[in-house]
Amino acid sequence: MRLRAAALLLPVLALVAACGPPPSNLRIIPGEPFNYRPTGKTIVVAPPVDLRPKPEIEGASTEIKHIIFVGLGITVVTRGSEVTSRSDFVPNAWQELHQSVIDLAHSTRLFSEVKVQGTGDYVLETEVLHLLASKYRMFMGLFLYGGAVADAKHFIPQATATVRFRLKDSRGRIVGEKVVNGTQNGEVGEIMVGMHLLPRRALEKALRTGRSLVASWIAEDVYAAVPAATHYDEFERAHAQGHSFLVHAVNGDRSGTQLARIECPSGKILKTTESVTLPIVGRPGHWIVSPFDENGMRLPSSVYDALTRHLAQHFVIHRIDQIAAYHYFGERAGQPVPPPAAPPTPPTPPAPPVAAAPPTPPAPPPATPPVYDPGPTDQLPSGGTEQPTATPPATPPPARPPAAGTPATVAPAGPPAQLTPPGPRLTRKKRHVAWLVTTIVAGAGAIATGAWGLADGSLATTAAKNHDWNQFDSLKRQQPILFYTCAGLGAVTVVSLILYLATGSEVPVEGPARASLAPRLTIAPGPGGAWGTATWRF
Amino acid sequence: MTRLRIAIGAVGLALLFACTTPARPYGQPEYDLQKIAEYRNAPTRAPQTPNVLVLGALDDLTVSPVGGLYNEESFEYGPLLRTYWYPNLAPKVLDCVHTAFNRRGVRTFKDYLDLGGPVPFPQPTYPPGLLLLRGSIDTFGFSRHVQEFDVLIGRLTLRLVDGSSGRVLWQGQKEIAFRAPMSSYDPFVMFGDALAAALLDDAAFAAALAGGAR
Repeated sequence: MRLRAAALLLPVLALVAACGPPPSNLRIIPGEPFNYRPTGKTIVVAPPVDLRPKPEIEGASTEIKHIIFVGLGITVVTRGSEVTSRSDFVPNAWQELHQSVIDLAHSTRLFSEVKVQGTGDYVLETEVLHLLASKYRMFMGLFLYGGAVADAKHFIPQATATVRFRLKDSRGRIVGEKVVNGTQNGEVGEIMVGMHLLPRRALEKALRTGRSLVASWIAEDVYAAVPAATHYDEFERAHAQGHSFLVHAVNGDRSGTQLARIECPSGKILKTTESVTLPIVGRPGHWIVSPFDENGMRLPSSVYDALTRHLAQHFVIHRIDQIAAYHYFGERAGQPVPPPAAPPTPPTPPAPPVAAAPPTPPAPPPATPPVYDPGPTDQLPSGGTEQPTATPPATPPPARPPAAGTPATVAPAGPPAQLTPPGPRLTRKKRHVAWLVTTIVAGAGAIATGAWGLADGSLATTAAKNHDWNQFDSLKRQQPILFYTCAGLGAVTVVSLILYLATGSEVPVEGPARASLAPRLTIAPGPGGAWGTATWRF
Repeated sequence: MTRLRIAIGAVGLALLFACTTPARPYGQPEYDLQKIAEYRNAPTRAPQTPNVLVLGALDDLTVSPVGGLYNEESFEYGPLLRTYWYPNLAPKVLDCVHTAFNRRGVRTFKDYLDLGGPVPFPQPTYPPGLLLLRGSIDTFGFSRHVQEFDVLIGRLTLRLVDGSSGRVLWQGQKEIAFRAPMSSYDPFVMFGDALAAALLDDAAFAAALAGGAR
């Protein structure tokens, strides 16, 4: 019998041991392939180089801060970050990462062939600088000979993936080199289940940004050899965008970008979207003629130059604080407008960053160069904050009212959101304590009534055995009352416990993020700043 | 035996008070509060230059979370109360540096789409005289303290590049660390101001900015 029990127990124990979180893979699906015209070039994707610091490779855990012997017991305090290690990834994770970068290059559809080794027109090198998830944890335990008391505080895990991309041509010349960074916040459940999947999600963000970067480099390199005058037409034909262009505005917390595709020259808004993977160009709330497309691929600088020259005939655009991007202020009044007599002369001695004329005369009619406003719009008043820069130039040309059904936001935007991170407010602690007290009181009541009911039942059984039917009836009449009281108090206990956990004193309460934080306990940066918090207490 | 326990307990208590330095979350810079100076708005002036400064790619090498809320005076078993993260840290820092440079008289533009090419501003698309400031944020920490002050620490590796040729005119590391009273004023603005002041105080940087590619 014992042998049979042991035989049953062993598989169960093995199953429990095997139920730990499986290691994460690094096979990233690059997403929808781009729809670009192939360049006919070949690329060699070199294996990624691991440049992570040692704690990220071998992992790290909390450190013991104190061990105190107090009388008959020991107090132990530990705190620190728990960091993922190589055991959180599958053994061939690096090969999978290499394959993911190869897929990434494939999905740009810019190359005729993507090779793993050999020679090609380009070589793509990647270096992984960070790939980890970390979770801060604190623990205090008092171990006595008679028992133990322990308390722990866990913070929500967060992941970072930082990858350096470098593209070289066949002669070894660096076409471009840039670091992309992907961050990912965990969920409450991942505190206990494990955080091994988080680095993969962060890496996915980084690789998708890297894909746009590679496409941008190729576009810049290929178009550099084409005469500037034909760039805009070439680009339009290649991408079949028609006569439309993209404007964008960065969200208040810089976590994403709003996009609007504008028809030229009517100014009608064709489509609006939002994205969190596009480059962050411009201050929050400022509408900018996007120097990239919906995929995040940067338009070659000569193409953007030609595009903005074309747009300046129909729309009000100004170069304000971005050297390679124009602010968008809507349509010109009463278009077509004859070109101004002469663009404002930039002040001397500072050399104006006006886009110079292309070497060959442009094929379309002579275009008005984008208006360069040399005024002080890019300079803040002394001692001021960021808000004053949100105003448009001094006398913006009046724009036609937007077409029906178009969002009113495509106009010089108002002042950006307050960028100051919220200060600490711990007033929620009172509510947190109130729910704790409610939980304790209701729980104690539920336990008491339950115990009373059980005692009544026992007494009723005894009374029945003694044929004391009067007492039996009296006790039985109390039973439903006790049952419903116990159930009600139990429900109150459960609800207040949930609310106590959900409104933990360490959970942020600042501003508009409050509503979205309560149910999910995840990071939801509000317009008051992107500061989130990541704590959860057991 | 009792004496031994008392001795061990005393050692434990000594350890308790010796270990007052809080362990920051992984990736955040450690600091000693006593050694962090108060923020001071230095009256640095920019050199007269015909060149235009452009803020380019600032590679973010930080590890999330980059901030935390601490209570240094009263805590149960650790001073950390919350952790903070910040999406797209580099543009936020650069916006403030841009503001600070302009305020100090350096004509500054931004190029957040800098692709890291060897020649950032080829002619004739761009005029000559553009100097690009590139680099990386190696570490960054924004600690708030319930005692109503903030501590900002950042270590950056920067280089000034001639836009037309790609030649590196200056390169160096800058470490910014200060504490400031917690207020409605954005500490990032102070950070940008401190970084701009540190760069302009660097004689080699100022000379490179003034001289350009000559």
